[in-house]
Amino acid sequence: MAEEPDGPDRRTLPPMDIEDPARGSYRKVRGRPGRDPVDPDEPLAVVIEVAEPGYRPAGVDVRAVLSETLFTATVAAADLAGLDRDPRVVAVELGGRLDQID
Amino acid sequence: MYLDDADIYPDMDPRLQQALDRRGRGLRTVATASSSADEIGVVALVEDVDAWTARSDVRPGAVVGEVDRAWLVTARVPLTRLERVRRADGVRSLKPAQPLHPVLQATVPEIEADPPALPAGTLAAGGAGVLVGFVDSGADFAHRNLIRPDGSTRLVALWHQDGPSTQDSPFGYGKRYSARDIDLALSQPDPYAALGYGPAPDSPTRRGSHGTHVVDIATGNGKGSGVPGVAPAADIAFVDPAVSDIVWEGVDVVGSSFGDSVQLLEALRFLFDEAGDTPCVVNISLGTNGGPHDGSSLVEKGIDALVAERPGRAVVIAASNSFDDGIHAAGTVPAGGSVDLRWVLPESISAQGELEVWYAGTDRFRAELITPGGQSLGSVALGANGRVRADDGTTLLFVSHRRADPNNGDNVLGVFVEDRLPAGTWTIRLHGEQVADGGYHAWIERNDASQSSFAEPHDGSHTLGSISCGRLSLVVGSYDAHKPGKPLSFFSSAGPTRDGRQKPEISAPGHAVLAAHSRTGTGVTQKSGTSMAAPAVTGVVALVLAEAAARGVVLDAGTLRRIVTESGRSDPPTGTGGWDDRYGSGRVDAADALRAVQKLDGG
Repeated sequence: MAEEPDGPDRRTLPPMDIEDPARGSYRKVRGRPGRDPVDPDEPLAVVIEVAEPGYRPAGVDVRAVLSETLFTATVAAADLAGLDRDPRVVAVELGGRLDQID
Repeated sequence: MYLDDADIYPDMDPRLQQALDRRGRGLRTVATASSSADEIGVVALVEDVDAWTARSDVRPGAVVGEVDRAWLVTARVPLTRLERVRRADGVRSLKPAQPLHPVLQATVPEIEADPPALPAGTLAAGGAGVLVGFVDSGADFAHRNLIRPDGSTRLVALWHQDGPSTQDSPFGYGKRYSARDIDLALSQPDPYAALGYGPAPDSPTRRGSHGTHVVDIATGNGKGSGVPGVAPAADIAFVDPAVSDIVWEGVDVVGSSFGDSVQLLEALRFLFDEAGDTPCVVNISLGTNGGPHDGSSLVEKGIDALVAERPGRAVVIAASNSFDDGIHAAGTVPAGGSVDLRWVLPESISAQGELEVWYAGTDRFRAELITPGGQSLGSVALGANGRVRADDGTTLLFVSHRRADPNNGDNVLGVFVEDRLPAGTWTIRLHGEQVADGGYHAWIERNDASQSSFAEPHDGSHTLGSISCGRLSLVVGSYDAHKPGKPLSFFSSAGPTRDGRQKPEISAPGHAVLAAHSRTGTGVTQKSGTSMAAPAVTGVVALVLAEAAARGVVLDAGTLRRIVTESGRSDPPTGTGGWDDRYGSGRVDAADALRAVQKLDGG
């Protein structure tokens, strides 16, 4: 009798490693979890919301102004921590994938 | 080598089973003149022709005749619906068939936008004086429907975001082509080569570019095809964020994307800047399945901000085509208890699978992951991450359990799996550790080659696209205008938003729509989807904006929204004046929308 192959659902996986929740977590940055940039110099396209009209945080390269408190920008990955700490920054959203709706 | 079980309904013609198997492996059928790449022509023996033709997943062809006290009929059926159609009551037989002749385009007369249906004294003038913008792939500026009678282009600007950058590039990237650039190219033997831009040629799986088709529905003048769109006198501006249509074919489609949300906002900024003081409506058919679905994302806030910036602006977005995909689940986690989310990964899954669960920031869940074989991999508490690594150190599975999203304060669980993980039904067990609300919504991200889903029964509600839940956008569902009952398209996504707002706002014909076929000059091709419905509404909005401008009526976003929704027709949807989670406030009605503007002008 031929040996029955292991079905894919028979495979045993190692248990999950649970990671320190405090490490590297941003309060104000919304992106795709698990897709965090690893290169601190990596330029990121983001949308930034600020609390004060006209405020532009240092280090961000503003691209398009959407309103007095909302704009698109390019930032270095290493600058996300500073934006996260900036009390005048409300939220930062990393550019997210969009698919064509047929 | 060994025989593997296939999860395909066995009591079906072997060739249809093969078609489903091929689809499951990421292969696609070939588009023909009458069938898109995602559907197949069939010959069926049915007991009730009316019940057969009323199905929204059946595009009827011909009634051939009576056989054994049943009816032999031809039709086209989406591959995703083959098994359900075969199992439907009264369907005795289903066989693959030769391609059929396409049905006729019916959008403009159905939505009361043809000139005889418009109200007396209308000043809409086909949308003249309005700029209609599109963010889409592949604008065929050489199609005659987009050219004026004098031979000049109707495009006032075209920004190819992936084109060669110049000093004048909008926001520093891509290439902007002016009307003059396009006119010069049109005078050359090969206008696409002359301009350095053009829609992708046809391929075995795609006939005609998406963008050209969409532009024609809203604004084509019919000088090539003979059938004008809804607002044939409007000006046109186009932003193409795509590298190429080609990346959307075959297994390579998985993991690819059509630009991103930042590029989209910059496209909108560009289009509204091009418009200046001119009334402007922008059509979008982009999105994904994930996201908070409450309008709190910054891309949705950005769309709202641009619409609110000045009167006479609108953004129209396709609802999405996910109603039938099993990509949403919702429920309530009891305090001290648990709920299982059952996530079915197909054998053929390619690229990553992704799932998001959103729940109230006042609650605290713990997420336990269980493999198809019943092995618990452990639990991830709120605020923690979990990861499973392969022997080589690469991540096979990642779980992020984030506390208090910055934009809405809710908690979100994200689960990401690699295609190397076992297929089958995975379980995400949500344990209610601290529960004040208990409610949750979950979405599975899109994967065109091998879409995973929740286990049946499916919940098609809350399946609007990721950028379609803003407060000022107009979101459009799809129905089939070729059938007497105007049934919903089986794919047309449903609302409401996660925070309970009524979206989609309106619906329009999106089933088997014939419109401009790129690189043919005068031809048409057929496509189906909510992205064929959205431009019909975009065209209506252009007529409304033109009527208002001609009368000096100022339309802010709220007024424009009321005009479109309050003029929607019912039956279907059932009743009067109500909101339906897929039709929205009804079927769009251009004539009544223009009458509403006339009333604002004292008419």
